[in-house]
Amino acid sequence: MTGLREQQLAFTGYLRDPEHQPIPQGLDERRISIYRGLVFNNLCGLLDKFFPVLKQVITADQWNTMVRDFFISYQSQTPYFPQIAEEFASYLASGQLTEGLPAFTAELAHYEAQELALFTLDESPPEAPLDEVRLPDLPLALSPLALPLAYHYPVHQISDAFVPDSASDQPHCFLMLRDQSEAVRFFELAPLAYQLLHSMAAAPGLVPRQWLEAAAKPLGSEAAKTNFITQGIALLRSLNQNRIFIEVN
Amino acid sequence: MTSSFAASVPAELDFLEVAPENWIRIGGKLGRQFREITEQIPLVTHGLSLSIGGPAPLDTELVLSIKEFIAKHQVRIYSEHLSYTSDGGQLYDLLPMPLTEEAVQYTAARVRQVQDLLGQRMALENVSYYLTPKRQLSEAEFVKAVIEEADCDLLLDVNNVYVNSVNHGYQPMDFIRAMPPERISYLHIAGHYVEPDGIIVDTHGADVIDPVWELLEQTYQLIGTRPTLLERDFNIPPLPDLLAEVALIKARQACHLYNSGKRREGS
Repeated sequence: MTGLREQQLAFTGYLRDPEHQPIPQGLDERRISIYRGLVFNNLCGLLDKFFPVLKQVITADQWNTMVRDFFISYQSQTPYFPQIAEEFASYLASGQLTEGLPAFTAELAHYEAQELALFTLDESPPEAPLDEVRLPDLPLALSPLALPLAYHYPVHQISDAFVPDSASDQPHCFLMLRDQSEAVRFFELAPLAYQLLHSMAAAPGLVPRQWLEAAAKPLGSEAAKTNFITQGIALLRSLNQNRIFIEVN
Repeated sequence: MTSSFAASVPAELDFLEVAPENWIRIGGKLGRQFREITEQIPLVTHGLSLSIGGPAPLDTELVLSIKEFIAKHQVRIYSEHLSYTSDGGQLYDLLPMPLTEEAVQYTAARVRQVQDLLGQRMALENVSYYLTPKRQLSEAEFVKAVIEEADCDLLLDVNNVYVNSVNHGYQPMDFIRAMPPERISYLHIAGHYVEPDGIIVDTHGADVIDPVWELLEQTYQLIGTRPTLLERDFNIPPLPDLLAEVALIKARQACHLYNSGKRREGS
C-alpha cells in the first residue's frame, strides 16, 4: 500500500505532465480532468495578467506550450502570487524551452517581470537628491527603486504592431525607476552610462569621478578625456534629480 | 478597485478578507492603498500557498512572514485551506487530500507547528474537492479529526459543503452537524459553476444560489451566527451588486438573532 507522500506525488506528477504521466491508480478520468483544467487555467490566468505584451505577440499554442513546460521542468518556489512573474521569467531565461518561440521571449518576459517587481517593491525612494556639487566624488549606491537594464532586443517597443525578427546591432539600455508619484518610468541610456550604473549596482561605493577617469583612459588626448568626464558628470547630475543615488557611508 | 476602495471603504462592511500571499512584501502605490484600507476596517487573512497537508517541508519562512503581516495589519484571523498546493514546487492550486488516518496525523502535526510559530490559533477551511485520492474516512470524519487533533479552528465554507454534497452525494446538513460548533470561527459563502454533466466547480464567479442561502440559514439555526464572508474572485459585478448580497447575509443574521431572542423570551 502506498503512503501519503507517494499518493500526493503521483497526483501532482500527473497534473504537471498529463501527456506523459499515468493517471494515478483508481482515479476517475472525468474527475481528474477537472483538476487538470483548473490547475492549468489558474496558472495561465495569473501569467496572462503579468505578461500582457508577451501574451499578445505569441500564439495561443506557444503560450500554452510555455505554461505546460513551466509546470513540467521548473519548480516554482515563491508562495507569493505577484512574484510568480519573476519565477516565470527565470524559467524562460534558463533556456529550457526555446524551440518554436521568438528569440526575444526571455528578454521580453524579463522586462515585463521587472516592471511589475519595481511597481510593487516594498521600498521608499531617497528623501532628496544628493548634493550636486559633491556628487561626482561621493561613494554611491543605486536606490533599490532604480534598475539599469540591457537587452539585445528593443523590448520596450515590442507590440503586436512591432515584432523584431533579429537582435539589434547595439544593446538597448535603460534605467527603469519608480518615481515620486509611484509610477514606473524608463530612460534610455547610452551603453557607457548603463555600464556606470550597472557597475554601481554591482559594487556599491563606486566613486563616479574615479570610474569616469578610468573609462576615459583609452581616449588619448587630454581634451577628449576632460570632455568625456564632464559629460559623464552632467549626466549623473541630471539622473540625480530622480533620486536614484544613495551615499554609501 | 483598490484605489476607490481605499478612498472610502463601504460602511456596510464589517470586515475584509485577503490572501496574505497577494499582499506580503507589496509596497509602492498598491501597498500604500492597502494600508489605507486596513486602517479603516478589520482584516482577516485566508492563505493560499502554505500547502499545509503537502509533501514538501513546511515553509516556515512564509509562516514567519505571515506572522509579521498579522502584526502589521492587526489581522484578526489567519485561515488556510485543508489541502496542499506544492510538491516541492508550487502548483498554485488547492489539491485534494487523501482522506486517511495518516493524512490526519501528518496535517495536524504541521498545523500545530504553524500555531507554535505564529503564537496563535489558525483556522482550516473545508475545501471543495472533485475526487478523493484515497478514502478511509468520510470527508466529515477527516475534517473533524484534523481540527481536533491539531487543536485549531474551522472556517466553515458553506458553499463548499453544498458543492461537495452534490459532487460526492451526501446530505449537506449531515456534514455541518458533524462539525464541532465551538471550533467554527467564521463562515464563507460564494457562488459556483455547474458543468454540463452536473459536476459543480467552486469558481467564486457567480451569485450565491438559493440552496446555499438556505444552508447558511440552517447553519445559523444550528450553531448561531458567525462572521460570514462573501467570496467573489471572478466575473466581479459592480460594487452595489456585491453589497446587496452582503445585505442578504446581514438580513439572515438579524433574522436569526431576532428569532432566537424570541425563543429565549418564550422559554
